[in-house]
Amino acid sequence: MSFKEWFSRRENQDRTIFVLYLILIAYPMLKPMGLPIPIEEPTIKSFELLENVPEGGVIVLVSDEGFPSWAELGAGEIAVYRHAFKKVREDGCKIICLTCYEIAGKILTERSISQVDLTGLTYGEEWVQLGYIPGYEAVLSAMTDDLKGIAPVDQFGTPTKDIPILKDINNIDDYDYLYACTYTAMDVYIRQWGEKALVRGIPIVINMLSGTVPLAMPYYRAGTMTAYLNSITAGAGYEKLIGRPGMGAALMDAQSTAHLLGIGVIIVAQVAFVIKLTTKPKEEKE
Amino acid sequence: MSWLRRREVCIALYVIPALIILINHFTGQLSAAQSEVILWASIIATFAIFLGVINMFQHHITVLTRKRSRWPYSIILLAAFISTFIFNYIYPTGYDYIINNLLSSLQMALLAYVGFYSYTLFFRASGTKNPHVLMLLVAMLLGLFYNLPMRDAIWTGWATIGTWVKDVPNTGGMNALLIGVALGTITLFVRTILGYEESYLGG
Amino acid sequence: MIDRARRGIEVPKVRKLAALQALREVVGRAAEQNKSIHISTGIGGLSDEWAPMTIAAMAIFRRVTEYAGEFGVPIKYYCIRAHMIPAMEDMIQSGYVKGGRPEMYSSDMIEFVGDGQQRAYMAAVMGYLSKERPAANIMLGAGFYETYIVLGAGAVVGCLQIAGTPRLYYQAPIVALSDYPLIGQELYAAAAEITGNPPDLGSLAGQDYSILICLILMIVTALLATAGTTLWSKLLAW
Repeated sequence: MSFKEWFSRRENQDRTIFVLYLILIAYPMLKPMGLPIPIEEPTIKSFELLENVPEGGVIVLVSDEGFPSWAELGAGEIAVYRHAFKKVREDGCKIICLTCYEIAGKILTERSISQVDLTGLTYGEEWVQLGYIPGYEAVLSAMTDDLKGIAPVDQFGTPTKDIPILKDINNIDDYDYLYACTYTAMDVYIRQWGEKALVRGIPIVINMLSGTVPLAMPYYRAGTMTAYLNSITAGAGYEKLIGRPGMGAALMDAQSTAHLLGIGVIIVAQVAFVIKLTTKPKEEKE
Repeated sequence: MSWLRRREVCIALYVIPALIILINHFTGQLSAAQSEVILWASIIATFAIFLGVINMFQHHITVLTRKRSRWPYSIILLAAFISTFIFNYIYPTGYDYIINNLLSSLQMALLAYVGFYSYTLFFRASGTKNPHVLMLLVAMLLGLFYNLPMRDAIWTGWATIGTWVKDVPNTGGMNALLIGVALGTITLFVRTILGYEESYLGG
Repeated sequence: MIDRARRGIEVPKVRKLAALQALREVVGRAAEQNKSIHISTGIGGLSDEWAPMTIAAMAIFRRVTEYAGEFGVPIKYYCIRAHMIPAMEDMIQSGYVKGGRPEMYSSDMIEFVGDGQQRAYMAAVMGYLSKERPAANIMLGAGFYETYIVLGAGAVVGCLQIAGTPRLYYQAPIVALSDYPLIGQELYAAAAEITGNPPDLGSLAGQDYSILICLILMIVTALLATAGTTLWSKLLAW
């Protein structure tokens, strides 16, 4: 069987693409190429918004990513957590962590916090983890009215009314920064937070998959979403801004090669199709 | 008790909580009732999971007893389900191991399929005369170049073009789709509240 | 518009949607090939914000199940929301009864794969499509990124594919991978058209008129804003 006959079969075409994809992703991860990391304007804006949280401000971090999206969103998530905890040390800010989409978010919150240096910080006084609160959109809505109502206990079973950090924090009037990391619809956060946050001048920053960024553009242009992080590209950029390169920088090379493959596949397939259309079959010529 | 099965009762069960939430959204007067309704919905959804578990056991036990094709997979599934369920209560360390090391890795691997299938999507979609698909391909190419981390090394114009595509046609199209979908959702809600929609009632 | 349609004063007509025209043909082809069809309502359920999409999908699938009963075609449905099980069981069974083949229905046609467990759903559907190679793969409702997987796997095995979701980020795979796409709110229009109920069609017309009003308001606001008047946009924002 010639290569042409072999490649004309659909499953062989798919196998070829899969193998090329695997090689082009794996090679840069094993041998990093050190390609330049661009920093987009929304990433810089996200960084500045967190940097400008006033002294003693309350930072709310909602981690609704799941395990599948960790590779894409993890870099940005860890970078934001590191930046937020830096604000805790330097400016006495407070952090509230919670998750409301699925329980994986709680586990990934712990994974993010494990990447932060917590020396000298006390749980309950500088930060609190409310864990997984089922309800998704209902929780996002309720946390703007009554935080302790939807979270009577924290992740470890301590009543929230007894946690020192939450003593004067009750609703959206007490928040200074809203962050969400999600691998599903981001308009849910805008729906529940957007209006109330806009009126109070509280920035909303959403870390999302690159596939959902086009949907976010209407909200970003309208100002309802103050800034966003475009998956791993923003994660690598954010790491550069906080001066702590990590997972994002390591995966950027793989992203470059994968994108080049996508571009190559489209161009090659379309060119081959055009050539096939314009080339007359031999039988017709005879 | 047969009156419970009447269509009107089912519609009332939908309409009353929906109206409570709607009225509270606009007036804020029924927040306690809304919280109760949402709580009931969560509880019912949790009980519904039992239904799912029963369905799953029914199906896979049937596969095992009748030795249908791929019956070994049914054993693996049932064993994994039962062991994870039991570990959560009697062996939390094992449960954490399963979640952190097995489940998370498997889920990440399965999501990687999306990447692979995206590339077959590029390949299948390419090689076409359909003008809509051609436009999609051009947009895909521009999007890929824009998101390419090393795009500036190839040509600095990609950022400008990509930003324009993102800000102008994409935002316009998304706004239009958003409005259309929102209106469609409202229309369906109005139809359901008025009792004209029956598909959710089953047969 | 609902009221006018209900009273028979003005029952709007929906333009021909290729996907709807093809439904009967698709099921008939499955019968000729002696294969099954796979149906999917996506990841949404009846208790979340994607319920309208799921309801619209169920309206269309009700007709599909009737055709399946008429032609004697088995259906397979993987359920990702536990509360959908009784609704879909009821719908599929009624479809076979109305189609004239009540004995064909089996509870095996609906298989639960985990509540909201998208990856389990993806694995189950990929396995079914690659092993059983159904004649058709119909995916309507609230699709998430499993749309890529379901439609991609269907394309690999060569199924005839009908797909539609109003979800914005998944229009690309639907257009590129399905034979009969329903783009954006065409799903809602298809659901109204297939039931044929005058109130459903009336609501569709009302929706279209609302879109027209929004369009006119947008153009007027844009023109006034260009002319330097912000009063109008402030009024609208209020």
